[in-house]
Amino acid sequence: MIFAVFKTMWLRLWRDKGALVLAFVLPGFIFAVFAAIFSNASGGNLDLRVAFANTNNAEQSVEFAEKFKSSDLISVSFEEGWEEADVAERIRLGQDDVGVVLFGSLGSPEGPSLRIIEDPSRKVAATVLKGQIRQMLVEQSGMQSQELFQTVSALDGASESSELTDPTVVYYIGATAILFLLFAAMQGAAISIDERRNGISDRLMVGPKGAFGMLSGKFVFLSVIGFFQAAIICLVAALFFDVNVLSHLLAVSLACLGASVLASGLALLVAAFCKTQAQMNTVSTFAVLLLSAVGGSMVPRFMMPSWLQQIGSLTPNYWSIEAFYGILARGQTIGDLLPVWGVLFGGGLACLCLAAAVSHKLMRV
Amino acid sequence: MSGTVLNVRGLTVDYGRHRALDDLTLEIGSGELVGVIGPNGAGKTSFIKALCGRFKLQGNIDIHGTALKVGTDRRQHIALVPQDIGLYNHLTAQENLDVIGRLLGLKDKSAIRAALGAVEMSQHAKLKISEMSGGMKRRINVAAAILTDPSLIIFDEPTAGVDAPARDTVHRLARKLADDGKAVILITHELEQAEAICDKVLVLCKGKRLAFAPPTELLEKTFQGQREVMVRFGSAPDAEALSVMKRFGFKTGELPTIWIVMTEMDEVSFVSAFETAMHSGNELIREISVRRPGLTALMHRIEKTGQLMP
Repeated sequence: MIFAVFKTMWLRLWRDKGALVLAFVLPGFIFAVFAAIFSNASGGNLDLRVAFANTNNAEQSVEFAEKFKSSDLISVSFEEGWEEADVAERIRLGQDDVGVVLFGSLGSPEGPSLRIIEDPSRKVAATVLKGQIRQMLVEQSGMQSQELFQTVSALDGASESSELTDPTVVYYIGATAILFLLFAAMQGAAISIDERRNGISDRLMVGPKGAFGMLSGKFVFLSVIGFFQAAIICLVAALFFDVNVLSHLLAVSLACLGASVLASGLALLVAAFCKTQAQMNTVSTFAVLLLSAVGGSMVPRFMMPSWLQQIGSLTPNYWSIEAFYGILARGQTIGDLLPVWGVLFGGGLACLCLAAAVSHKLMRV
Repeated sequence: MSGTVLNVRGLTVDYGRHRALDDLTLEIGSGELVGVIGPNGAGKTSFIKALCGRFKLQGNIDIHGTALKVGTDRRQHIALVPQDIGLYNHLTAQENLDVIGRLLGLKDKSAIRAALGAVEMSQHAKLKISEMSGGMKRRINVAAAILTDPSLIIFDEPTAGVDAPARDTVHRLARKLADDGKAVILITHELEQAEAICDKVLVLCKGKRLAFAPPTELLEKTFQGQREVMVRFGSAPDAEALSVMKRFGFKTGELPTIWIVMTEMDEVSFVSAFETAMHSGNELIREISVRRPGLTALMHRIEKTGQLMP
């Protein structure tokens, strides 16, 4: 039964060339556009003005300070004798975008050694700076990165990996993938509505498998197609943005599949509740755009207020981003991301079961 | 009838407090084509859903002596020809039958060729449904139902909204399947066609069975030699003509220019008396026809009175 449904849906996609392009070409293209825009905005070409003060003379701190001041990625304002208050004042006056105060010895396990002073209206500048400081620390520390990272309490999400790539590009792998997976899955799942309306479901209800058999076939198809859609985005990221996907192939594959499973389950659930194609179009467009906006597919979540970020953690977009970002930006392992897999796969299967229950109920009345 | 295929006893269906089907009992035999008619809300759809196992029910449904319950695999027993084209538009006829066959657990591919042959569509097997005419789609719709060689085939208003040639195709196929030994149920609003092709007619109203008999027997019993006289005017009749119409017991039909009356009088005498009474009003009359009342007249009566007899 699963094969029959799979074949039906595959032929439907294969014979609709527009949908085929939409499914496999557009996601990679859109990802490339997003990645190019945001990596440029947050990377080397962003003229970030940073006020810097070093109140510590430890060897590693001095070495870092010199490296920091001479960075090509940022424009550093620095004068001997500056204290934290001086930096804070420059930020308050808008003379610089963000401030950094090095007050402890880098590499010391005793506590925080670096503080970021941010302008509330320019949180993104602080976020971008954190990424760049991480990069510098990794380069400076070599194999001792873990030791150094522990000292930088102002920076969250320290990484053990020395293979970090542009975190913004990585961010948009998950963000773009889930956006398109949701759209594609919603479009594919709408075939359920056709089947209910034109009598195919009625015809098949005399058989033994009923609604669950039909939905399982669709679920497998949507998950497989979604996996390849996400994989294409990863391929584009690897080829054009130097994201090291190959080193994390298994984990990235799992993330592609997990995001696809959740999107498929959710789409089938929405289709189970909708009675007409028009209703499905409206609901799915509304749902995908809302989830994507709140979940961080359109605008990075760190640019959102904290309450919105909390709401965003309820969206599939958040978990998809977490999966890809965790693997490729934070260097987390499959084991580290167990809660993420739980949400992606468990959520997808739960949605499938719920969709089957709703469909079953609809067919029995 | 060469053997009972479907045996329904005391079938009752409730939707909450609403009783959709009330203690329905009937038998349908092999080779019988049974038309199911009734006004909206009569219980026709509930009857089909109950047969297809869509919900728990009170009463018994047996097919070839096997009791059907919710969840019983009905593939070998029952097939449904849905009202709409229950096919995938993007697939060819053969692909549709292959997919539907697989979904129904069919392993024998020769059944696809047989089904296409039965509906005379073998030569169009490679044509997509979206590229077919209405009649061809209807044929494949039927082919998909007979894939599993069921003993009972249900046509659920298969001619709703279709053109005359497609409608005739469907009815001809339904008759052919019955002639080939299948038990066929035809839910329809095409009353004249049902009268012509059905072996029996089940009349439902408000969930109750009003009649279950051959159409001629049913009509003879219901109208007992009455004749239906229909008068069609070129334009709405004037006051004088209306007065005569009312005196003769005419009532308006579907249009204000069409008037109908049932009479037990000799038809020649009735028409002669009517024309005499009309005087100058005769010039407005375009047509007077007399016929034995059919299922359409019966349905009008049921819709007005809820009963077969006035």
